[in-house]
Amino acid sequence: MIQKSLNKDTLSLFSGPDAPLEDDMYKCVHCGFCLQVCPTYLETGLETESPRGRIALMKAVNENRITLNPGVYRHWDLCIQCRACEVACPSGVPYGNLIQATMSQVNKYRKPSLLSKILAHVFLNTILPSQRVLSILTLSLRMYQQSGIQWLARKSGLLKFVGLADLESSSPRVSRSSFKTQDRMIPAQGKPRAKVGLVSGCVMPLIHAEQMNSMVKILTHNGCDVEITTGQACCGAIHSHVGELERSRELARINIDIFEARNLDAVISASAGCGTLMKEYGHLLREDQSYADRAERFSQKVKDIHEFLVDLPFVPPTHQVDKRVTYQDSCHLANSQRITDAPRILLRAIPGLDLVELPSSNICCGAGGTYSITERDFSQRVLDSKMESIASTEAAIVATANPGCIIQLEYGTSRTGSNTKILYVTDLLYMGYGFKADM
Amino acid sequence: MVSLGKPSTRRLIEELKSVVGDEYVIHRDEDLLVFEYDGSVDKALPTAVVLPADTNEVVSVTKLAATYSIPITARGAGTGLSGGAIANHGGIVLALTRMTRIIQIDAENMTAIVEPGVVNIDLSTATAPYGLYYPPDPSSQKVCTLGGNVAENSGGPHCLAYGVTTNYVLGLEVVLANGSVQWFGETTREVGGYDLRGIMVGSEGTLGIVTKIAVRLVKIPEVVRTLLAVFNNVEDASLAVSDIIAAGIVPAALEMMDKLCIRAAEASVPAGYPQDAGAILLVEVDGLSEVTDEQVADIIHVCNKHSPIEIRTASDNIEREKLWAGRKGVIGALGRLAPNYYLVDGTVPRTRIMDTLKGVEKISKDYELPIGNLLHAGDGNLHPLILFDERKPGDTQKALEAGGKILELCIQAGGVLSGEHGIGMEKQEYMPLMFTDDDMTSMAKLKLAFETNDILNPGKIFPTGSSHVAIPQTGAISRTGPDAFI
Amino acid sequence: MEFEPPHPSTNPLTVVPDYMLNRPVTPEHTIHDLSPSAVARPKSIDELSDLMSITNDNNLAIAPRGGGTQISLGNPLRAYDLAIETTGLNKMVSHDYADLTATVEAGVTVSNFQDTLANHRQFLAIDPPLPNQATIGGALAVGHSGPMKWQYWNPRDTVIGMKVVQPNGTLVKSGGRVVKNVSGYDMARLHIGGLGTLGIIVEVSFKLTPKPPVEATLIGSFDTINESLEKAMLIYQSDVLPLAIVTIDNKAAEQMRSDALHQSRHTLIVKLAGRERGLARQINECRNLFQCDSMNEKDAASLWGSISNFGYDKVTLPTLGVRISAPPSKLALLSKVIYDLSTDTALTPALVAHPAHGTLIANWHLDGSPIQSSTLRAMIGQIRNHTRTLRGHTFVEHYPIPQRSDLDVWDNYGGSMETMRNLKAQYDPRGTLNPGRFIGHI
Ligand SMILES: Cc1cc2nc3c(=O)[nH]c(=O)nc-3n(C[C@H](O)[C@H](O)[C@H](O)COP(=O)(O)OP(=O)(O)OC[C@H]3O[C@@H](n4cnc5c(N)ncnc54)[C@H](O)[C@@H]3O)c2cc1C
Repeated sequence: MIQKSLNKDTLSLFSGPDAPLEDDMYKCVHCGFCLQVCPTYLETGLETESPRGRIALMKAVNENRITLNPGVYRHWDLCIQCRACEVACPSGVPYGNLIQATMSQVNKYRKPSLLSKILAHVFLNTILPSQRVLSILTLSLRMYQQSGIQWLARKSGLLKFVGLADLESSSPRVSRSSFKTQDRMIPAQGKPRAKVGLVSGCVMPLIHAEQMNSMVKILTHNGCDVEITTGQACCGAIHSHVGELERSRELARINIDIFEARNLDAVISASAGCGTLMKEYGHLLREDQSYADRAERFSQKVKDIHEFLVDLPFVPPTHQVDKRVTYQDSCHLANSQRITDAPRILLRAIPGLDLVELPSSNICCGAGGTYSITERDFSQRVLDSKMESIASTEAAIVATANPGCIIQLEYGTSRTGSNTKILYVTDLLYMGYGFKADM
Repeated sequence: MVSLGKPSTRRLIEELKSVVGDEYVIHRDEDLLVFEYDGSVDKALPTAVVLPADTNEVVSVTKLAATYSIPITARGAGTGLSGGAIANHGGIVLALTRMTRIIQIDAENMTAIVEPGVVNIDLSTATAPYGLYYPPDPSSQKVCTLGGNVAENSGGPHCLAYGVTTNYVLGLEVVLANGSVQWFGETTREVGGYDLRGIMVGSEGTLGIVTKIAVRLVKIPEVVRTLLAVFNNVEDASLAVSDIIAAGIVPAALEMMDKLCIRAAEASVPAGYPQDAGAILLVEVDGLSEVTDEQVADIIHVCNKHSPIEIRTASDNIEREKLWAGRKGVIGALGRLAPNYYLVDGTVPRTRIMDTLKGVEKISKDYELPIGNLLHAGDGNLHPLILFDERKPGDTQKALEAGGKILELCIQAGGVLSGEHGIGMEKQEYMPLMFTDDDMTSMAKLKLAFETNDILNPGKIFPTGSSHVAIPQTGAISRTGPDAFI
Repeated sequence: MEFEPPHPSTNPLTVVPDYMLNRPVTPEHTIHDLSPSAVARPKSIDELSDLMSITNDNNLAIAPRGGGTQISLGNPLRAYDLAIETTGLNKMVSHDYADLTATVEAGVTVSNFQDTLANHRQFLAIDPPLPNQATIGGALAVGHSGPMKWQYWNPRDTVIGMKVVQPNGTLVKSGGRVVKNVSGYDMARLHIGGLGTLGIIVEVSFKLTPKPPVEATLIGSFDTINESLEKAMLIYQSDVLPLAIVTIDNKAAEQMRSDALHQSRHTLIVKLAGRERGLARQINECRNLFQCDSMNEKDAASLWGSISNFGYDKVTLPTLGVRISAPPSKLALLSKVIYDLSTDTALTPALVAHPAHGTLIANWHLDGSPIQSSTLRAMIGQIRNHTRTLRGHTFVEHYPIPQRSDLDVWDNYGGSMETMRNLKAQYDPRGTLNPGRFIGHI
């Protein structure tokens, strides 16, 4: 009763080196175990918006049963790429790789590209009213400034509408303090235990400068010499997310060059999204002869800050932080890097802190990199569900581990008028070390 | 296969949209593609997929189907393993995944009423604060729906001591093919008249659409003890199983996995199963601490007679969940070893497990296909998993044939075709192995008592006559079409 | 569809071969006030099959009977030509003790079956009244649960396979001999509780339960039935997993004439089982919940016998009796309803409840009291109304024969009557099997 006819002679509509791998697709035995962790399926109850459905569509394109048309890639676009399905999948389907590769194929067909669509949205549709959009816009601009993606702006020709200075001043959430990204070394307190580099990324120094400074302080307090390096590029995660894999590779090479020169024990990422991609540079550059090995070695050194502190092990915090706190797993941390314990271990170590589990903390908040802009409505539906479960915990603070999640959840609190605070795990640790009384 | 013609299809779609809203009618070709499968190997495209919000909408859709004389196939999460939710005659797939309300939890009387789209585990999560849970726990419990469970009479590892879905269903609100809504049973233990609720359970969506389910709940046991016994080979493990049962011990769960499954499971969720083992048993007992202590001692005693390599007890909840995670994920995990599996669900008397497994091994050799064995051993429910690659020409056919051979083996051992996954479109051709024409005619009368137009999930359970494996067909069965039994 | 099949009354003596009509007609074959013209006791399933194809061809109205212990259940027969005794089907087919299953012909008595199982320290978790007489087939056709609760609730939960001779004489089977099976429809369900109206059960496969090493019965008494029901609920909701919980009111105690029962008080009895340590723990937990004594084995066995037989043995057989199924927490309220209504009609009920099942049995002895049938009907009607508002229903188990046709002894169940009629029409289109006897007089 198997109806599928596989014709090896006809050309698959997926092509080129970045085509999704057939072997990966056919690992999916459509058991459906992914359904109940997929935020878009949970919102809609629709198989079309589920990982299993999305893979079925990939297979159908691969088998030439359907063409790559907007009706099809609409369902892939709607994927937040939180990769919770990868964790749930007993068959080990590398969904993240599949969807990224698939998006790269879509980009070949889609005009204009998704990235310019993002910018179009940002600039033309959703501009000024929202702080959150501004923050994200800042992100785009910062990327523009720092990460060498000017090509994009030139292509889309949109940036000229907005002056950079304007934006920075009109966005209240953007941190007033600053984080200096020039080359420097901040020495460990006491006897050094490790020499680490800090990924400064593109967004964080700008919008979360204060928090970054805290992270540096935490690291030095834990005996780390912290190296800050100029010239770091954006990690390339956003590009991968939308299938611009070649751009990601260019950025990856820049970063590898920069950090390699420093001879570090570890490269610390405070943003789960950046950490994830950097840990995957090895895979990203696997076909690049001069970089493949180096990328692999580099990826081995990349550590998420929570993971790093717990492994160190960290100096126990001693100051009371009498707060009811809940923890939202960052998808990139929990699903891609499979780190769920470390942030909780840090939080539990803080005296007085009452950690309550967030129901469905493994379900995405809807941020998904630029998803909150490209799929604004959907992102909000997912966010609203998340805010409901946050409210059910009666926590005063939600801790999380990624700038995108922070921005999204803050937007959630403003949408719902909630006075729950959204903080980095490290912010609370900072308080636990007594560097600051409150946030 | 029902085909409506373009204009009627368009009209039908419009009418369906006016019932459930535009968003919840799926009809574009590409979108229908993702409703052509469930967790099994078969596939077929529906004409439209509808997602109703409540019983009234189900009634309206059912009436429309009757007007257009097209089939309705109910669908839960689509994790079924016998093709039950596949619209093999086309028509409407009625997906109940939006009907997810838990309507009532009556903690005092230990019952609950839910909509069919509620996911199995969500019910136990919701009742946990009352110290109660819903025992039938298919391995797919994190995703499968209670509606699907009712339709398949699903079991699970813990059904050995606790029983399967039918032992927990107290009442069902059902929409019949003519659109009438009836309650079969309610929340009481006994009901008068024919046991319609019992008849509905396991009827694979062929008699009515279940729109509400009343179940009984059970107290969460005081202690749960889990034990892992590792053996050199499946023979030793099988003997340990029959000895445990013969000793009058009925554990809450008694599961077995062979080498291939152990390997796959470990690769997926490292549960600490020893890699070089020939077979493992996962045994769980629960209840009062005094009782479980003694049972664990007895089980260890029995296992020790069959030269175990190692016996381990989970010392805490985390370890326990780890042991189970490997077990619950193993079917999917086989996707790591091959792109497809064909899961056979035959059940044999518990005293015949060993012989049957030997036969399975031979079939694996004969067909040159790897077969992993996973068993709800305490129930005698085998799950041989035949690994194949649908992209290799002829492989699928070979796998299906090997499956047929295994089922024959089970029947010869005094067993049955399916322990918990149902017949659906996957095993319908094997029905004559187990049932006479009279038996099947009697079943067909049941269907006719519920509906005569064959609207609800047609082409399932009964043999079609166009079999993918040669099976002797006898003539006395009435058929209305080339591929319908009734 | 109104179901009123043609029924020309043929004398079975003329169409059924003599050798089949091998039993004399006796008063015990009378059902309500109808007697058959002949009685058959087939010696094999094949013979029964042959017999039924004849009765079907000739539109003979037949009523199967096992031990006859609950033969008066149901609505009045519309016709009754032939009684078919199943007691000739008395083979113990197999006891696969290592597999905890057994297969038995339907005419074997429950006691004989249990005795066989006991040889291997196993039992079947059903306990119908008068097990020495009651047959396996009869107990299932009635389908009521006795006091025993065990893991499940109903006799239906113990059945794994069944063979049935259909009204037209064809033998069909469903299920199998394994404990877990979803191959095809679960046809046995039609016949369990179907009171022999769709076919005659001829062979059944069961899953069995190992006999627990030790048992104990605890007994305590209370001033009011409410107190005893409240305590019963506490036990039901506790960690204890009793084999049975029963409350008996003072009037029922009086009727049972058991030395173990306080005749002026309301009794709560709990049966526990398990291994030594587990049992000791359960006894302790129960003692914390209600004041009680342990009974010795012999007295306990005899008391449990009386409880199972309540309403069916000679001493307790009532003129009027109802069996209510409702949510357990509502039984106290329903007992009050029954007391109040009885007071209004100057009657005294005897109550036995199985609180964990939500079953309440109320029996009345009218012996000679001048009660109008309209009064009885009104009382039943009221009880039904009350139970329905509490999401339960009332089955009339005993009713004075002359007034039988006044009411349907079955309650109204969720609008499913139409489906039940369709079932009867499919399986017994000629209406030969127990015509009129079942729900809705089908
Ligand atoms: C990895 C894996 C492990 C599994 N483990 C087990 C196991 O341990 N035990 C077990 O028993 N099963 C198991 N299954 C099989 C499957 O999960 C069960 O059969 C489950 O009950 C199906 O539920 P569903 O919601 O996915 O139903 P679907 O697959 O969507 O539908 C199944 C059948 O139910 C019908 N149906 C669905 N909803 C309704 C309704 N509301 N009214 C009427 N009919 C309806 C459909 O028409 C279809 O015939 C497993 C499956 C997988 C993939």
